[in-house]
This record gives sequence, structure tokens and C-alpha cells, in this order.
Amino acid sequence: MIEEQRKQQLVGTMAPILTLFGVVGPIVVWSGSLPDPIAVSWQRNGADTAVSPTTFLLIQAIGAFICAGLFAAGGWRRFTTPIYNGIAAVVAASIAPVLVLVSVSTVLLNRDQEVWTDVPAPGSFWIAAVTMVAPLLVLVPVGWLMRDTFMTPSPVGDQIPSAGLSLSETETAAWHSQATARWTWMVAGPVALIAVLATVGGVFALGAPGIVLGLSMIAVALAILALTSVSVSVDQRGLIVRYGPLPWPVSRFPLTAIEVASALDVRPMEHGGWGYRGSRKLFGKAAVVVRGGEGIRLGLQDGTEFVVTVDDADRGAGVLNDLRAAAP
Amino acid sequence: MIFTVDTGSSIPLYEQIVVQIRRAISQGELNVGDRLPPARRLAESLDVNMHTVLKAYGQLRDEDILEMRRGRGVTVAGIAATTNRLRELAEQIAAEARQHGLARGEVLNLVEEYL
Repeated sequence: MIEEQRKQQLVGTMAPILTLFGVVGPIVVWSGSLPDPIAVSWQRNGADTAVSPTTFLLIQAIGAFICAGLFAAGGWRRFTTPIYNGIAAVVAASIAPVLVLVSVSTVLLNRDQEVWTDVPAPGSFWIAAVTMVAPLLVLVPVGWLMRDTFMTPSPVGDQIPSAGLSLSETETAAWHSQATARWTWMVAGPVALIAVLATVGGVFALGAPGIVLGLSMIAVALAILALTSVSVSVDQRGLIVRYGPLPWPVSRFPLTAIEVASALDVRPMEHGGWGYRGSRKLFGKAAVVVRGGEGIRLGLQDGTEFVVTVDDADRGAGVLNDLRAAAP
Repeated sequence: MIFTVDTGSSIPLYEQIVVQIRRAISQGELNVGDRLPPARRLAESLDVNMHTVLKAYGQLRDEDILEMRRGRGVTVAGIAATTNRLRELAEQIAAEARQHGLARGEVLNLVEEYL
């Protein structure tokens, strides 16, 4: 596989080497023209913190080694669960450029200065712009190279589950179940409370901008709340997932779009954590994880996969397969 | 749980739903506190009128088996009315069978006849 080789070369080998050289290189190369100590932090009117060049090199090197290790582990598939390879590479890709930028900018600013207090403050706009853009320049290609690690189909048995339903023409069947998070309300509750307090307080303190602040926090609380529980139903319309206590949002999968349903044991970290993970359009795989444990996996006609955690999953998958088999 | 309704059956649709929920409770598939789908959602699912489901839920609520609360949905409230009563009867059967020296298979066959 050329793609696999290229991934090993670029992500597993090139990226770690570039990270180490990019972070450590500038400090070593220009060590002769640096003051001791060097300025590492600035306020508007000038440098306010300094460390010895050796300390700076050491701290940066530790970061670089961690990033290089993550790149190597991701590119060379060091984890048995593929998604960890993807996560490792993406985490490294978002940190490495920032480390390089810190090294390069710090060295450039300190270069040829007599004492660290003379070091001028960097142009904050450029620093902000570059630190925002640089990680993306690395993240996008690395994400592209690692995309298949996010797409590995979930492991399920060979057997197609059945609920043993044989419906006559006058019969209809439906299966309803749900899954509830065990701890998410502990997060959603305080966030909702803070949101309400911030709205009230914000309006008093800030006027109109306070409303915007409060509303955005309420939106966050609702988003968390929506993923504290899911209700799943299976009937002649297919599989329907409803998120949280509100009637919206809803995901629908018509019977005709489903190839096969199966039950699986969902381990949140294998799907990238809790919440709505992945994307069927981007990665060919999406998972709704509100808790660990049983869930239904849909293999869809378009080759993508959808996983949702739900109680009594084996029966739900069985009913779905039975309905699909009976559908004209 | 699985719900099925048969529009071709002589048993009223709401009663079919009632029987299934009762059975699910007595078989331990539904426990106290478990949530049932909202009437509208179940009705859409089974392609029946919402009032059919409401009638079924209403009857079970009147028997204190279900609890319907605004905002909390429909939950299983008690299983005393069904399971515990059956348990009592089963204990009686077992006790009397022992007294009369009936074999295990004979008792099971006897019960089987009425199922």
C-alpha cells in the first residue's frame, strides 16, 4: 500500500525529525548570539520574564520529544486500536507547529541583544495570526493522511441478529429503548446554572453583550444536555435517534438505507470519546456515545457506518434486521 | 421493549398494547422506574392513533402500574399488582403440590395447561 508507506514516511519519520530540528535547531544554531538569560515572555511595553538559554532549550526539547513520539506512534501504528494512532498524530500536529514557532520567534527576538530587558515585544497581531494558521497547515495534511484510522469499521460478530419476528400483513412492530449518561448531568447541571447566572449578571453588568454571552452559554448547556440521553426507536420507518429531552435534533435512517444492523460493545475511547463523534461524510463513520456498553451499529448502503449506544441493543438490531428482511 | 399490534385481530388495539406491557413487566423486562416511549411517539411508530396508546397507558395508570407525569414522561410505577400476586399464587401451588406429593414435572404440566 503506497498510502500506508507514505503515511509511515511522512507522519512516522519526517514529522518527528522536522519537529525536533524545528524546535531545538534554532536555539542551538544561534546560541552564540543570544543574551543570557533570554526573554521568553512579554508585556505590551517589553520583556517581563527571562530564563537561561539552557533551561529554554530543555523545556522546548521535552515538548519536541513528546510531539515526535506521538507522531512516530501515530504514523507507525503503534496502537492496536487504530483510532489512537489518529488521535496521537492529530494531537502532535496541533502542538508541534506552536513549539517550532515559540523557538523560532524567541530566538529571532533575542538575537544580537545585549541584555534581555532590551528585547523588544513581538508584534502581537502577527504572533496571533501565525499561531492560528501554522497548526492548520500541519493539521490538515496529517488529518488527511491519518483519515483511514478514523474509518476502521467497528468490530462486530459475523452473525446477523434477529428478534425472530415474523409479521403478518396486518401486524406492525416497534422497538423503543434509550441510553442515559451516567455522569454527564453533573457537567450539564452546573453549566446550565452558570449560564442562567451569567445571563442575569451579564445583562446587569454589560447590557446587551451580556445577553449574547448568556445565550451562548445556554446553547452550550443545551448541547451537553442533548447528549446526556438518547431515545432510539426501530419501526417500519427505520431507525430514529432522538437526542436529549427536546424533540430536536433527530437522526433518521430509513430501512432502505440500512444494509445490516448489529449489536456491539461500545468502548467510548475507541470511538473518540463521548458525544457525537466522527462524521459519516468525512470519515465514513459516526458514533453517538452517551455511555460505555451496548450499542447498535448500522452498516449503511452507502458503505458508511453509524453507531449509537442504547440499552437492549441486541433485540433492537434484531427487530431492525427482521423489518428490513420483510420490507418489500 | 418490542411492541406489536395486529389490526387484523379481534382484540382491541389498546388491549394488545396493555397485555404486552404487563407481560414485559411480569417477565422482568421492564422494571420500576423504566421509561416508556411518549404516547405520540409510540403511536407514530406503530402507525396507530395516539388515543389508542393513551387509552392503554391510561388503563395501566389506573391500575397503578404506570405513572404519567408532565415533563417526566411515562414510567413503570409498580409491579406489585402483577408479579407479586403471581408469586403468591405460585407459592401456594408449590406448597399444596408438596403436601399432595406431586412430582415437579406433574406440577409444571398442570400449569402449562392453563398457559
